[in-house]
Amino acid sequence: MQDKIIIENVNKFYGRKQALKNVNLTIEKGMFGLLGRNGAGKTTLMKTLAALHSKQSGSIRVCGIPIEHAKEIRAITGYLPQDFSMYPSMSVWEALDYLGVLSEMGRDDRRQKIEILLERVNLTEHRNKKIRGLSGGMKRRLGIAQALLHDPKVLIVDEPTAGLDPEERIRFRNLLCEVAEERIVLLSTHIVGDIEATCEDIAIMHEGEILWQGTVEQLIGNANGKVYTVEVENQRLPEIKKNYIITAMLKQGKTTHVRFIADSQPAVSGASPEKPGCEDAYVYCLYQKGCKVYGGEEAG
Amino acid sequence: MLIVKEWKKIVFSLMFVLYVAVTVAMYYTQLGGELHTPEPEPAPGMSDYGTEVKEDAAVIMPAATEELLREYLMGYYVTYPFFYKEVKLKENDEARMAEILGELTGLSREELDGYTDFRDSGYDITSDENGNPVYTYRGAVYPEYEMQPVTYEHFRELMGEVDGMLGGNSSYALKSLVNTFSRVPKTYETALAEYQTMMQPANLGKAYTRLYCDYMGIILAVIPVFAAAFLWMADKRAHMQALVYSRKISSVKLVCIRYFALVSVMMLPVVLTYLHMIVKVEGLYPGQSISWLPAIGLGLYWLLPYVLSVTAVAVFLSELIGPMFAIFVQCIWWFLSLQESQLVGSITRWVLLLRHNRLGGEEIFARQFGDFLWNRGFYLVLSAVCLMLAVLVFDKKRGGAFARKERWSVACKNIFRNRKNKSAA
Repeated sequence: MQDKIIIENVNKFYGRKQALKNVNLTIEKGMFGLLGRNGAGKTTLMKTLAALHSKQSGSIRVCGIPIEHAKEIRAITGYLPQDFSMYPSMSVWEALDYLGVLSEMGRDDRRQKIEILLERVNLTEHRNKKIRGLSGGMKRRLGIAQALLHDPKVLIVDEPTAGLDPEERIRFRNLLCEVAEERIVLLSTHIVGDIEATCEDIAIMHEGEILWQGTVEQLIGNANGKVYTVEVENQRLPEIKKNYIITAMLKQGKTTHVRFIADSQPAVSGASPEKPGCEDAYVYCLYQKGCKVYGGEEAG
Repeated sequence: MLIVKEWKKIVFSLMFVLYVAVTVAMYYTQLGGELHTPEPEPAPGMSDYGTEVKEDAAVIMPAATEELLREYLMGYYVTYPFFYKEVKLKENDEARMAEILGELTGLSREELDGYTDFRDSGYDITSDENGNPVYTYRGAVYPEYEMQPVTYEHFRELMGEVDGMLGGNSSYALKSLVNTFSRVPKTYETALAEYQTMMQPANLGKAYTRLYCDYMGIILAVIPVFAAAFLWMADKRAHMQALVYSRKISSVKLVCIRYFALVSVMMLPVVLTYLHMIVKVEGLYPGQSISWLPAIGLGLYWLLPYVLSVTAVAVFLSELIGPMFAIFVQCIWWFLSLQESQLVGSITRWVLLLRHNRLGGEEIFARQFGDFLWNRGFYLVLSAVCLMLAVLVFDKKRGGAFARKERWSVACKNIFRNRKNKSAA
């Protein structure tokens, strides 16, 4: 069985609105990041891959299984949705056991896997705690545990770090990297830092389309020589905002340290080129592909 | 096993506790009184052996005419659209009512409207030598009349017209006419024969079972919808629909197991109160042989279709549209069927509620047994159809169908929430 997801010419509509436009992707074993703004179509693509949404056209094969074979797909896929919880009155153990039953796992298999997973996500001591008593980070870790319960070949994780504090976010990202050693992990997020820290291969989605696909290094490489910084007086800031895409600003009294993107040498005195970060590269990619980018300007 | 986990989920929910409380309360308040004393054997020389219903035109026509005349002279008519209601007619309807009364009694409208001595039936209150009140019944005072020669068929047509003018659910409705106006006093012999039939080992258990089913049916035809609709949407409330949808289990298996878990748990208080009734009845008739197996079969065939069909409709509509819609539909359905049913002897093929609100009446039930079997069979089939539809809808939703409806619903909720926030600000 192939350890890859092959997506070819996939289209999906919500009524007249096209949510996925001719999507083509090949996702290999390991961590794969799907980056894009809110509403870019990431969740739709994730749900389609988890057999929770249907597509109108195109083909998807998950580890060689056509997506239309929903039961087989669900058997090899673990899914952690963006907005999820579990029955609040159940304990951590009971919730995992219930979902294990829904995955048609045997009793002994469930018990064994739950023990291992609780240990892995560091929730063993909270096994009898009610779901309603868990913190956001604990819930997310429990989410990963439930998605891994039936030992899936593919793990689909949708915006897993939203709302987590920095420490929990790092912990969660490390956990994802660990589990990606054995399977395909598809991580969707709009937080560039998560992608930068965990994924080698990524795709950028915009308005239902795959805008760009490659490695993080390639993405950053594209933005080489396009990122500048400058220390300007505050009254000159509107001029820079008008002409360039600002990716960071730090006000320091009467001056502001500005990081911005320019296609060619900028006409700003004192501007010096900088090594691009992943965030700069992502914004540059959007700009390069003709997407409207709001950098410093008010959106809308 | 999944069904054990589903049972646990249901049994520990507040909704189920409420369901049990209502069921048990219904049992104690309605049937409790019947289980304190055994049914007395009729003795010769008693003043009252109760009444029986016989469709006798010679009894029905004068009784219904007299009642219509009484209500005309009072100036209002009583109907029962689930609750007591006094209906006052408009002038043209009142004129038509006078015409009908004229056709039945020979009295003209002038004679009817000019009669000033009318007095309704009631009680005169006097005092005895100790000053205690003494109530003496006196009949109503009507103008004198003679029943006109009208055929029973035409009389029924007139009564149908009267009921129509009153907006339905009056005593003159054709479905009520016989029960209301053709009650004749039972003789000692009839009462004794009925008692002896009821006391036969094969019949006594069934007699109590019928009464039990009559009372419990009233609530089982509606309250399972609250528990089922609420519990069915537990995944949605807990934001774990996607987790459940993404599991390997088939839609047929999941929906059917959850459905049977609901039904079996909701039958639990029914079974327990029924067993309690058996113990009480055995205590009422010591030494009396009672055959309970056929009675249990009858009770199961009577009550199980209520729980099966109401739960299946609730599950299907909750899945398709939403729990509130399911509750609304079921309440309307229950209300209409309650209106349609009479206390005794109105078992039909289609109406959800079956009533037999008396301990005896073996022969009335036997007459309608064919319709009873048909009715319950129909609701069993309806349950199966609704369950299959629920599986279909669940499976479609699981594959992403109705996603637009969900998005629309979320959008509406957000608009409402934003408005509330704005008004709060």
